Amino acid sequence: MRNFGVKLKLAKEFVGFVGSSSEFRTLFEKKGTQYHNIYSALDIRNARLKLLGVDLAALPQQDKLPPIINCRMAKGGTGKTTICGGIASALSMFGYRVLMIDGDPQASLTGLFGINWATENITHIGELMLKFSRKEDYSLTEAVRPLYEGKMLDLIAADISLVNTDSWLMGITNREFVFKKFLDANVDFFSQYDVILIDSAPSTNLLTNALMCACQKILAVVWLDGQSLKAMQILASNVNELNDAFHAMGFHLDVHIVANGYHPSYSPCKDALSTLISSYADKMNNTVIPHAVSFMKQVELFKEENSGTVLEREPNSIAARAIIDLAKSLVKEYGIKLSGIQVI
Amino acid sequence: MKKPITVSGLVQSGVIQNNLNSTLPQFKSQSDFSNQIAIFLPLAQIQPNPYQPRSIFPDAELNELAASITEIGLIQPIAVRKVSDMAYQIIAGERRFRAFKLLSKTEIPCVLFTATDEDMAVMAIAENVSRQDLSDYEIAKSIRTVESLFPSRTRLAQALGFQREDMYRYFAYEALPLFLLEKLEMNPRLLSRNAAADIKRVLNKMSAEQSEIALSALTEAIALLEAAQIDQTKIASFIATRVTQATQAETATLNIQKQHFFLQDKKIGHFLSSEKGLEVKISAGVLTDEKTTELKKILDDFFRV
Repeated sequence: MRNFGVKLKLAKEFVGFVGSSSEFRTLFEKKGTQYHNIYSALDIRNARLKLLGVDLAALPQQDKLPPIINCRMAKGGTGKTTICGGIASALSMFGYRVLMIDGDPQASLTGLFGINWATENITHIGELMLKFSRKEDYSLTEAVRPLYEGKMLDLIAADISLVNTDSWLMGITNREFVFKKFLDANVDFFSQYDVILIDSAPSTNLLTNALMCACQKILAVVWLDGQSLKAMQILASNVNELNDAFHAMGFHLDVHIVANGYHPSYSPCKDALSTLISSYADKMNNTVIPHAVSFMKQVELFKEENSGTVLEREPNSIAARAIIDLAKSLVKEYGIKLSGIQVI
Repeated sequence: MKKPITVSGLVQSGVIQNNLNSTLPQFKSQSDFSNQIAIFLPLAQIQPNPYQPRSIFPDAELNELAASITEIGLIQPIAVRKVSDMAYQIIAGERRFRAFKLLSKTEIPCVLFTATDEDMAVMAIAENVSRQDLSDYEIAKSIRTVESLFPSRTRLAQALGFQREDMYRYFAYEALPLFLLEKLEMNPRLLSRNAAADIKRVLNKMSAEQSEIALSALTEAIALLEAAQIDQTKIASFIATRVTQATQAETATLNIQKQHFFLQDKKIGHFLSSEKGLEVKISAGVLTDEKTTELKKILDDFFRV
């Protein structure tokens, strides 16, 4: 469990509170008297529900899968993990219950949250799906690692053995939809969350395809250089191929694009962004993630437990601001709801 | 703190361009696949178009359609869009969908299209507007329900392919009095948009005092219209005439309160009380300076009380 919270100013922003700070403090039972408070994701969720006047006990149990945001790009190093982990921690701090699934055998998302996959005992998504398809017993609750208190941010971690998934996926029928079926079969478990985030591997393989086939819109993270734009060709053909193959089932996968690594004095960044916006105007997120040093400081090489997202480590940086703005826009883009309540 | 970087900001400031000719490989949209094959979807997963202006589907017509479907099958699949997992909305083909339900079928052949809410609204209206059988009032109501989807009325008119002025005629129905709207609900063909716009215009011109007369004239005219004794294009002028007559009659009654002053059988002035106020007029040279001062003093004292 990670002990993370934000200070008053951000907490007020995340709750969407416009009143005075002293009024704000009264929303939190234990924290009325102290001056400097740290507000956790759970605090913010409870405050938002309180302001909405919602009695959680009276709400019906959710029975539908929440929106899925799959960070995907056909090239490594474009910032999929940074964006995935960043918006996961931001959405959680907005009060949404977030489940992250590390779908990359490199396990960078697992590492971003300070978990050493080499020494930890990890049950990854591949193992869960394998047991599900063989009708063996598995425990989702044991596989899930709590990161923020109160089920606000959970992770299904990964390790290098996730690469084996392709070898058994090859042998089963309807393999593209095995992950979707796995989610549907465990809808009681997954519907506890307000959003599911997946960090996908860059390669085109059966696992990444299966992860894509469970969502309606992937989040393509594009680094602003020629190499990354070139990979759009691969991504487009991946997506078009799946849509072509499964259109008759009513399946259609859409793409939402976020530009990453913008630097105002690098002209290739501007060229790349111009090409991107000219090509995919209606698919682009308006937020551009800057090339910022804060992102580079997320992962500690020798003190892994100190690693964390930019929002955790430098909440007031320009990088964290971009992540917060992006996460806000994704709430709308993906229709993320607070325990089933659409907040406008 | 530095301002966040946004795509729109960079385009606006001219740092990046959004109209380059060379573009990257495209993602095919859902409609790129649509025209190929019809798919069978369960009726339970299909909902009608929420913007559908047509509210009445006559049973006889549906039965006829159902019979023809049993006979020769469905020639044209219905058009739907996907709204969420396992949920679709009809873009075109609600009658066919209803006929299928009538036949207790479980599935219907569909072609999938992508459509935004705006598209859905426009398609529902545009399809019906071009048909003869939807009344102006029904069109006006459906325009009203989708208006909020558009940033401005100009854009709305563009999307529907209307002239702007013509669209405002549809909006005229809203300004009509409640009793008339209730009648229109029962009989939407009672008034065309032109008649509604004319009535709105004539009602707007009325002053507060006149509006009561205008309303009763309108009630009378509508009764005549329902009895087919007046043409709907004549209602506006009917109201205008009634109001003018009534105003003239009133002026006539006020005229009686005009009293003339005589001096040796010669009119030398008058006292007039009208809605504008009191007026005392006395011809020049009739009163001496003393009399004038006296009159002024009387009036002055009168107001001093």
